[in-house]
Amino acid sequence: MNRAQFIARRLVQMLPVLFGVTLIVFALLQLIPGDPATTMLGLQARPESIAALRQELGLDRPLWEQYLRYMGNLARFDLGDSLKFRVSVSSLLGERLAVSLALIVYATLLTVALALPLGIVSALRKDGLIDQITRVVLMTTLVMPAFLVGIIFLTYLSVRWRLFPVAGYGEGWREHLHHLFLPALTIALGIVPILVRALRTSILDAMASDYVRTARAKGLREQAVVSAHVLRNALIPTVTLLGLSVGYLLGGTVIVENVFSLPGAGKLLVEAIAARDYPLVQSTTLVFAMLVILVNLATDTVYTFLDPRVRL
Amino acid sequence: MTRRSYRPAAMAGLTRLVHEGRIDRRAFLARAAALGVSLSASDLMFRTYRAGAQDQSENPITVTVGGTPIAAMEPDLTDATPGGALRFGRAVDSDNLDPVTNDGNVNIWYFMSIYDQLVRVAPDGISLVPGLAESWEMSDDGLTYTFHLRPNVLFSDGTPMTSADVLYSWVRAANDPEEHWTFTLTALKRDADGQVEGISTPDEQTVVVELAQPWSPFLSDVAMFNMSVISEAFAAGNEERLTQECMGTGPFALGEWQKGEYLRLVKNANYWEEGLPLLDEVVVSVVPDDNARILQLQGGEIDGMKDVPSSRVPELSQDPNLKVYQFPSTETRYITLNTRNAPLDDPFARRALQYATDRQTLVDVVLFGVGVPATSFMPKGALYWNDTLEPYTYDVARAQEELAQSATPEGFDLELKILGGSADDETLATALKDMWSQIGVNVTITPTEGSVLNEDYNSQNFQAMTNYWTNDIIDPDELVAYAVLPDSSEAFQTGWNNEEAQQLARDGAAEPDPAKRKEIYFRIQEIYHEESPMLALYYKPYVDVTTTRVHNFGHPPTGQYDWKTTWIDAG
Amino acid sequence: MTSVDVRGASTAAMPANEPPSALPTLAGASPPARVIRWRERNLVVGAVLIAALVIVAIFAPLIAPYGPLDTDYTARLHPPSPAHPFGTDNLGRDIFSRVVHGARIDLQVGIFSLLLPFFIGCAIGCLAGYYGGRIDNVTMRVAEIIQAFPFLILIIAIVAVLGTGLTSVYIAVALVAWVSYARLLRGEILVAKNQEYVEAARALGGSDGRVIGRHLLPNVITSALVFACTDVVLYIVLVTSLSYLGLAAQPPSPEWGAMITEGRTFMATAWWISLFPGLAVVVTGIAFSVFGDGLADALRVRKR
Repeated sequence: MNRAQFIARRLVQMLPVLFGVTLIVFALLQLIPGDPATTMLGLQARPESIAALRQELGLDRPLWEQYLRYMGNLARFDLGDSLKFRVSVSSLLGERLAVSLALIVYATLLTVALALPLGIVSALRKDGLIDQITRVVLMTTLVMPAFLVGIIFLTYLSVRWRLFPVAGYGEGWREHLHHLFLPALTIALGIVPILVRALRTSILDAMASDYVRTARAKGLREQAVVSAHVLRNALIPTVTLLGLSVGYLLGGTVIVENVFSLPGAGKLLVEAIAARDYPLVQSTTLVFAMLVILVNLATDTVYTFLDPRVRL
Repeated sequence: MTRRSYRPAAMAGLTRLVHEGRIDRRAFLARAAALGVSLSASDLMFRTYRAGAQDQSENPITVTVGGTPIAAMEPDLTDATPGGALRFGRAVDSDNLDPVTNDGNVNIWYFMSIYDQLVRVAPDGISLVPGLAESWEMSDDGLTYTFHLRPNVLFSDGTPMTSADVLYSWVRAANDPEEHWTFTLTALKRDADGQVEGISTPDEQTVVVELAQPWSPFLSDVAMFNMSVISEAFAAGNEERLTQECMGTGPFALGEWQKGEYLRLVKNANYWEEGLPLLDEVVVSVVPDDNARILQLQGGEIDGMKDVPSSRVPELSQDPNLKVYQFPSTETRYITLNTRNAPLDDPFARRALQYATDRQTLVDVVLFGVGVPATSFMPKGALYWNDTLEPYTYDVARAQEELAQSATPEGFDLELKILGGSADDETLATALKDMWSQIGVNVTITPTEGSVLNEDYNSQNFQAMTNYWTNDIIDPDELVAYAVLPDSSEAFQTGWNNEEAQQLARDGAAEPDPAKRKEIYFRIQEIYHEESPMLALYYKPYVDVTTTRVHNFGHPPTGQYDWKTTWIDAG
Repeated sequence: MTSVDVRGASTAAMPANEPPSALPTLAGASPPARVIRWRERNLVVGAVLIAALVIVAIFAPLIAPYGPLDTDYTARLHPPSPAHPFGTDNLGRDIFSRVVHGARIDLQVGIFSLLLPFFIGCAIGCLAGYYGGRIDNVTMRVAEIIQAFPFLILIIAIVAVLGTGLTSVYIAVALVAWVSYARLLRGEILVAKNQEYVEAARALGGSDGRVIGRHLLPNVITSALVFACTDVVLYIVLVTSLSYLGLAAQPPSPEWGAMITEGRTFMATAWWISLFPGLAVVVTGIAFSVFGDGLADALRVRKR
């Protein structure tokens, strides 16, 4: 099987998952205790307005018909209208999704930039001072809630020392980089510890493996051994973990966008919840799940390039 | 009635003298006549607003920079640098910019920069000055008002404003009985179906209004936001668009409204006051979290903010880069109780809460001393504010006595809805929970997002909630009608139904004699105090913070921002 | 190829479908014998810390000098002092007492959230792994679908529709998190069920229930337990984050996340209000992580 066939097969495999995802998102509205329209409008809302909303949301139809309608709209890329903002969900999500994606890409780059050197040094100088310090510091950042890290960054780095802006994402890529640095770092700090651990283990394993020993025996200099074999082996767990982390990264945007007042999709989700705008909650959740599925596909594809041993 | 030229600035000065108690009635009438105001109209203005003068001198505007008080306003605009944008942060977004159908300050305080009224409240908040009307007369029987419009006023799209626009706007404001604010216009002459019929436009510059009964607050009502003049050509037949779009004659026009993010006001190039506004635009952004908003101000992302948590006022006052303003206000903070259902349908239970509330501690703990305990539901120092009420002092024993006589002598569970993200509300609710637990009232606090809280309020979907009021007009009729009458607001949505108070409220608006009106409004406050459908907690100045780049930031007692003469240092 | 995500609010748990023995640990890889003592130390230190936290939670009313909601309007915003070791907040509440009482809520959330998904997941995993076929197919498909959602976002969405509060959090976690345990146990059972001793038990006429309960489960449950330790941390951080977003504990609850959130207004001037509950989260997180690592290592050593 060649690469194209592999990707095609993965796409086909995705279909039932996609179907299931829409089913869960659709079911969210049914989870609302009592009548969704009443919950959205308040207990003592006028019966006419509740009836109108029920009709607008199609709640007066049988379930299967509601679902078919929902799927029909999705097939036309119609995510419906937001109750709170009174505009189409797609128009709301467009720009905000760009902010969230920029944040995720930035966080990923920062993660790699931090984890690669730390992981390599920790492995090469195993149980040395850097290894020990890294271990303790990363254990702390691993268990710290992201919003606390964000609040601390804001209070000290942005306000007290004025090193970074406190909100928004600026204009032009230079400003974007500056504005999004702390939010991206906050997200990155949640996965760096895991990646460092994985890298360290994988490098130690690789160095203990036969082919590195052979390489050393052939008289290759230590540095050459490290760069040629070990690094290549280190990259694979990195890509795997980053692929696995996309769900975490997306979850992180919800917290971080709220702490740093970034107009992203995660902040939109929380605003939608606060405003009891359940159709918007549904659509945002759906889009997030779609992103995860897409990134997984992308990771699998990248994998086929990185590691020829991967069985296609 | 004769028409004479009218000098607005002089008249404003004159009314101010009245309010400051520096001029008596005879002198006022003489001077007003010299300025061209008809005897009856000026007499009415004098009689109506004389009493509004009390206490205002005790509440000056204070501004602090780096711990040092500075002069509040810079009346001299010669140093002003026109241009630039004022970026202003607030907690909650607007939801409806239609002057007629909107229901709160999240809208009013901003669209009042876009729309003008025929008469307006002066920046001092205690006098009326001409707006789009240059002058007006009242007939001797008090039933007919004639307004003479300012010539050559243009809407921000460049079309001329005429009496037809006024007619259109006023009829719309008065006719829809479903809307919140028509109660201020009940005195207008109406036909059998309740439709307004007494407004006429003899020519493009004149509007005549006939009332069905004498109505003391009428001029005040004309200055209210729902009487804003909207372009008929823009809105007629498509009124729905007014919730999202605006077309007025005010200093600013609506630029762009990105829901949940910002509202951009842009300079109205056609504005009728020469040289104003100074700013090119005002960008009002939404930052729900108090802390984030302050951080943005300190970090220079915004130039000013409202909804300043009181706990931060002492600290911000010490910041050399910030101006902390305390504007005299008509703001009164309440806990609104839903009196339709048990246990709060019982006045004994409500009074128990009154006595179990330690207001001075609330002022200290929530407001950090910036405010005073409330004694009446009406703003302190406002026209006909009752200063003789015996305040509810903190007294757990008396609270228990009241509760013992109620249907729930052992106490009850109470859900208190507060504004989510507001540090002040959180602290207030926590303190109240603590205080009321002393008498067996078990409070559950439910923080609720602003727009949902507003919806819950209007659909009476609450047991108790934090709430506040600011006067939009000088006359007490607006607040009293809103808080007492069942018609559109169901007595501040409390569902409280007291026939004596309702009759008094109607009498008060019709009564021309100020002394009798005072009696009536004092009595209404007594009944309200006794019955306690709301707990009035404290009076609070408007607190705004800007950077030192901002000058002449205006926030009059009636609340709506006045950014016409505001300017910002370049750079 | 895998489609599992690393879940979590801030602490990301281990990839769910790999047995813990394949995971990197704090102490590193392939230990020489002398390091084993260090490993046991992990286990002991973690256990002692957790025990201490549990004792604090149980005896909170005895340890805390004040009630968690007791206000003292004369002692507002006091910095840490002998009278108030962690200082007081804007209502004069003793932060130390609140943090101590908060341990009850947060440990309870961490552990209670775990129970339902743990048992549901293990049961489903055992059945899927042992019987294979259609059960296996269906459950793994469902698992794949649930894991297509970012963990935190699906939890937030479910809590949002169920309504704010801790009960909603428990339900949401139960609906989502069983998947990890199901996949984990299924994998372990698949390996274990073909081993000789299991085949022998089956040949001797043991019923399915007996084979699973007596022979398979004891061998595979340990890896689920290790995973559970990291999950406790995950759930505690999750509930603090949900409180921050206003979806879990509400003020004036002394839940640590709610306390941090209440104190954020004072971060610049009265840092102690947020800092101490924050430290409590970190200490608890480290306790469970260290214990989990110790357990994983002990398990790996035993298997060897």
